[in-house]
Amino acid sequence: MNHSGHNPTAPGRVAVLIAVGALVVATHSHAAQTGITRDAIELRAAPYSDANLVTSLPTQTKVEILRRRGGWIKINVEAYGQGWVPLHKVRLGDSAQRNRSSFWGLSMLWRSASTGRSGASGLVATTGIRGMRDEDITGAVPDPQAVKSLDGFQASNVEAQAHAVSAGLEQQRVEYVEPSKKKKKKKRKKKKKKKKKGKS
Amino acid sequence: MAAALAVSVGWSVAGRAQFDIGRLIKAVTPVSQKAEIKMGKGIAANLLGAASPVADQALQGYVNKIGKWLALQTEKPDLPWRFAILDTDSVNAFAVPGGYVFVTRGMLLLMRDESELAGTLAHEISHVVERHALKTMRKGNWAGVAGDALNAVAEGEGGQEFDKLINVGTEIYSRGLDKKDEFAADVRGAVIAARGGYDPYGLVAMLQSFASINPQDDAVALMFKTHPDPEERMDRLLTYVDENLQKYGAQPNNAERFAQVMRTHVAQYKPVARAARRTEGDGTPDDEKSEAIKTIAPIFSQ
Repeated sequence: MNHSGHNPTAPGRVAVLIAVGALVVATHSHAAQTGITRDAIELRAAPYSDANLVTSLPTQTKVEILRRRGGWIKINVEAYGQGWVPLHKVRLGDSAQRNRSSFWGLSMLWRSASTGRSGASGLVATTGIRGMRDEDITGAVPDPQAVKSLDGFQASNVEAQAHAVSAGLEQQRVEYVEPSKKKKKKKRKKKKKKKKKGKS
Repeated sequence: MAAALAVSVGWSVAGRAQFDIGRLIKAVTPVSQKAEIKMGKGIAANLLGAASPVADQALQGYVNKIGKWLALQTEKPDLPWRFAILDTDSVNAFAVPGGYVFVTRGMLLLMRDESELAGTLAHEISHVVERHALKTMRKGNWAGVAGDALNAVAEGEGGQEFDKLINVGTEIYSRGLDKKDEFAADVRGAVIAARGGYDPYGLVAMLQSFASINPQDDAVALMFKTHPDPEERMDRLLTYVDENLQKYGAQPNNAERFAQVMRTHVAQYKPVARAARRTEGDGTPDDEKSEAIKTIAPIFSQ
């Protein structure tokens, strides 16, 4: 076994940590994520459907994603400026096809390292990575010791609550509404309205 | 032992037939919680045999606190909930009967804030609470088996029958659950996240990431095979959240805390150790990744 590879003070190791740290900054500081519109959409001045219209964007417009607020994302569009669009109307990446690598975190680091900015083409999609394929699961040698080790990570109710409160999370009463049932109700209401209209 | 089991099956079937023919046909004696937990342990051992938990107390503690908090918002706060990040590049998450919830490191790396993690955990928690995996088992190989028999095998633990049960249970993770249950877990997941004080759009944002990944990418192969199309999931969930949970969209997504913990996690990330482990297997690709990191490293250390 090569122990030098695990030495945290080895210069190479430190460099790797710095590099990987930079990856996290790049990934999680909301800096420059690229996206492309899935449909023709309206760019709004605020994250509401009745906010002022900035402009209408054609489908497959390339955008820069700045941040998210609920179901809306703030984007920057060349020649149009900034505004808000519904989250699901934008696909991440820069192609109309789904072409993102699952390892885009590393590819972002690669880009910013080699070009100093994001958006340039960088590391290509990784294939054949170490993963959990179905045959890995069905052919796995059981590891009951690993299951036991999870006990060491568990959180008590009190710890969980304190952790939530410290981040400003407030418990809410939220009912679960069966999606299909709600639709039926709506349809019924519409039918009733139609009937009323017919009478008047 | 097998004989004793056969006797107990025969007895329970005959016993029920006398007063409830409908139940006999469906054979829907519920699986006991004790049996559920024992089966879950066995299935979890198989999944962890395929990918180990990341050896990082801080990261796992963080995930367990969030997971437990969300589980407390459900009808089953008292299950022995255990959460873990698994050390694999694959993008996936698993809900195992009895309260085991696993999220892969590859999936964690795609997340942009804590509400995406919360939404993901809540989706899996919902699978556990609603017993979706058990439901799938009862529809498949174990369809004809009375609940009592299943309980007897699971609670008895050990033996060939138990191993068979665990293997059938594990196979579900390579085949997938009922697609309807996946859509239901998305919706319930968003509800649970909102109850816990999170922005419920986090799960929608997570699905946005999935819907952007190249379906040919190996890392998503199993998840895409076992789940409905991510774009359809995203669109459906967004419709529900817009209609029912919109006002909770202003709740925190804890992007800063998440980024902070990711730094802790990534500081523990061991590309060197992983490269060493690769030499045991086939694995060039991972080495390529380590190579990429090495190539980048000098630029950042200047």
